[in-house]
Amino acid sequence: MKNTFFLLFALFTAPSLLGQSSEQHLITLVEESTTGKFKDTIPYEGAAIVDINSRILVKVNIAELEDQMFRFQGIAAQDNRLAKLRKLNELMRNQNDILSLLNDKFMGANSANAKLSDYQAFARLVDATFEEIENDDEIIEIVDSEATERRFNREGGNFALLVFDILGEKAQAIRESLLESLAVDGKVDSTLMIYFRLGAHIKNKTGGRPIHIENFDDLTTEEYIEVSRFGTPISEEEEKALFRNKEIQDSIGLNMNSLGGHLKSTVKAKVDNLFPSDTTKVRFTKLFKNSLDLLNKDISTRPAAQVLLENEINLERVSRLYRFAAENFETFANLFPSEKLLQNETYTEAFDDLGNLVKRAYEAFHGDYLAYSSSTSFGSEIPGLEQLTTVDNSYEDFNQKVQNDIGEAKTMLGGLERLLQTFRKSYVENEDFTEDVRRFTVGKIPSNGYIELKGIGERRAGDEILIRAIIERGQDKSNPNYEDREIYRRYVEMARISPHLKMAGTLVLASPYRRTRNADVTLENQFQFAPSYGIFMKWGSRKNKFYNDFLMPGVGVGFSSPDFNLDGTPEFGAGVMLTAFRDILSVGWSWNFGVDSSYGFIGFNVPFTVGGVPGLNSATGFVSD
Amino acid sequence: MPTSISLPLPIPNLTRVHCLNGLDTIIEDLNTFLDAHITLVILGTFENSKMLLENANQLCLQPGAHPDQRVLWINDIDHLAALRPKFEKAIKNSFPNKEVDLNNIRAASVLPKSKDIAYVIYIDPSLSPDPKDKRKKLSSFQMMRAFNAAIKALPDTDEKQA
Repeated sequence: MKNTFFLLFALFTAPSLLGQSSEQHLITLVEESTTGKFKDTIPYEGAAIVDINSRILVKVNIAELEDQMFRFQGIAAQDNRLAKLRKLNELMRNQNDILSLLNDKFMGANSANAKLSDYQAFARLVDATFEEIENDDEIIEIVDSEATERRFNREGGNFALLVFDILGEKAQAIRESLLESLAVDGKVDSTLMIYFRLGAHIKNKTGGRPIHIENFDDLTTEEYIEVSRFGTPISEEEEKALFRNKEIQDSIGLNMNSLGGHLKSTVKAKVDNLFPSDTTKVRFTKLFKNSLDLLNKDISTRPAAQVLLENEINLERVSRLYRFAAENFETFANLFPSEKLLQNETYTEAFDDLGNLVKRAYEAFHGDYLAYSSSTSFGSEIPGLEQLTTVDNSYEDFNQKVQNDIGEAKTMLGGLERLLQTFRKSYVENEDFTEDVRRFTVGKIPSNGYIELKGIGERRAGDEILIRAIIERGQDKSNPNYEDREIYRRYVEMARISPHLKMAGTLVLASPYRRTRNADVTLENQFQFAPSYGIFMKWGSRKNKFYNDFLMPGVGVGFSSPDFNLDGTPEFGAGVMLTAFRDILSVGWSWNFGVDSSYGFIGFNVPFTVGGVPGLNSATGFVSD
Repeated sequence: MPTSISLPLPIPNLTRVHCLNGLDTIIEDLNTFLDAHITLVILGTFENSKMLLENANQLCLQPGAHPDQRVLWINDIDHLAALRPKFEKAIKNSFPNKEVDLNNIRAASVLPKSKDIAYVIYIDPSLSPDPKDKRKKLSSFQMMRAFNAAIKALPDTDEKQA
């Protein structure tokens, strides 16, 4: 029984498996060189590395996609219509290739140049589909019928295209019947309609930005840049293009620092001025203490001093919280524009607490002051009341100014938080599709698109392309019916795969051979430091990220200026060299033309200068792969 | 190199559907014609013949059709009888391991020069012992498959000639 089941399963799946190995994958990515010499499918899993100047073809498996879209709509997987639709879509997968071949080879003036191999390619493509049709009892009845004969007789054209039309019409009828469940008063409810969207972003240190996929979005292509392989290692224009990203990054960093610095100075001014009430606070505190001392000296005014004394502890609390709030304010300024800042709500809370404490302290004092001023036990003149009134007025002024300052500080903090929230949101959401990414309903989804990497603007080796596909229910995220699901996500890294030239400066330790036989070589040490400059060829790997990111060997020629005779004037040496580990290490053999001596060397691309060795400047000497 | 031959058109407007001349030179005419064309030979009379022959003609003219594609319609009983041994031999050569009843053949595509048969269409496909033949009755779909089979089987001499 089990064997029978497996046999049936194998028989059922064999044609499609034979037809296309990638059948079950929703999206297939194919790298194609712009010259057409290289074309290969990018692996579905693991490292996906393409040449930085290539084109990425995006092939959508319509049969699998429509199946997923209808299931997302709520159609049960067991529904026979889904299986039929999938089969029809699978049968139509060659339609585009057949149409392309017809247009390229057999239409208009092209037909005169068609070769037998073109006719055979066309026959093979058509027959592959026809054989599958013939093996399907239900579909062959539709395609190979009296009605089809009459239609072909009436319409003419290419019979294969007529067959695809018939398959397409049948598929559309099934789609419409599946969409009936979304119909309200005979019309499909757009808030329930399922849409497919496919988009891409370039990802690098600066975050990311959307890039154009032909047929799938309305984004415009960006500046056309080909990363040069040969010629001068780096032209002025290429250098500009390559380093524009860096400039942007630096500029962003600079702006952020500048903004942060600006905020810090603003905040510092605020803190120094704390608040403006800081002056008031100092004045008030001094008045409070002086008044307490003054009233405490005279026995008649001690009851008034008692009012101050009872409120002194509150004033101490105010001072402590005041300092805490000021410290928080400074911390806020120091953290800006860190994302951590956004997760910390203590800043505004501290100010709220301070405001409430000052208010309560003042109200407590003012209550005591009113009680003292309305006391009847002192007769007509209440001792120390005048001084207490001065303190009360000053306290009220202090409270008022503190509340104003806190209000201003909170407004500024709120504004900054909103600003940072927007930055953060835009960073997090930069994978989200804009309205430029088209929505497709079933039956209208293009089966192919491509990303022309030369047309995506600035890019560098190591940058990644994120290709995402989602299906959405409805278009409006605010609608309660809206739902989306990511159905495809793949990062593709760009690397310099094709052989290319690179120049790099390095510091070598040169050791002459047979030095005892050459009187001009007067070195005392085994090795001599010398600056060296190399031009070498490098190439990348499509399979090994470690190789691209770390090993990246190069082979070429090196020029150096050792001073083997120690006369203070460097000689000229040239030879062959090998580099590895992103040019950190190099080895080679050279000839010193000044003293006629050969020497071997080992070089290090060190990030520091060595005394007495001129000429190395890593900022200009090294170019990233 | 065989000399091309232009056989009469059974239906004047069908420029790619031909029939044979008189009985006397039938074998030579057939050989000459088959040598020069990728031919779909249709045997006998059948239902809807006008529409199917028009469609067969269209298959030879449609975009993507090889310029040498032709249809040879043999519907004369005497012609059929005269050519029967030749067809029997060709069938046996082309399908040595397959049981094919010549009386059940409606059409067959023939490769030029070798005259091997590439594809067979039956009068009644259900009579064929091969279950794969069950849909192979005369139709535009099957005629296109027959032409495709012949084109696919052609030796690629384009580059060599160039």
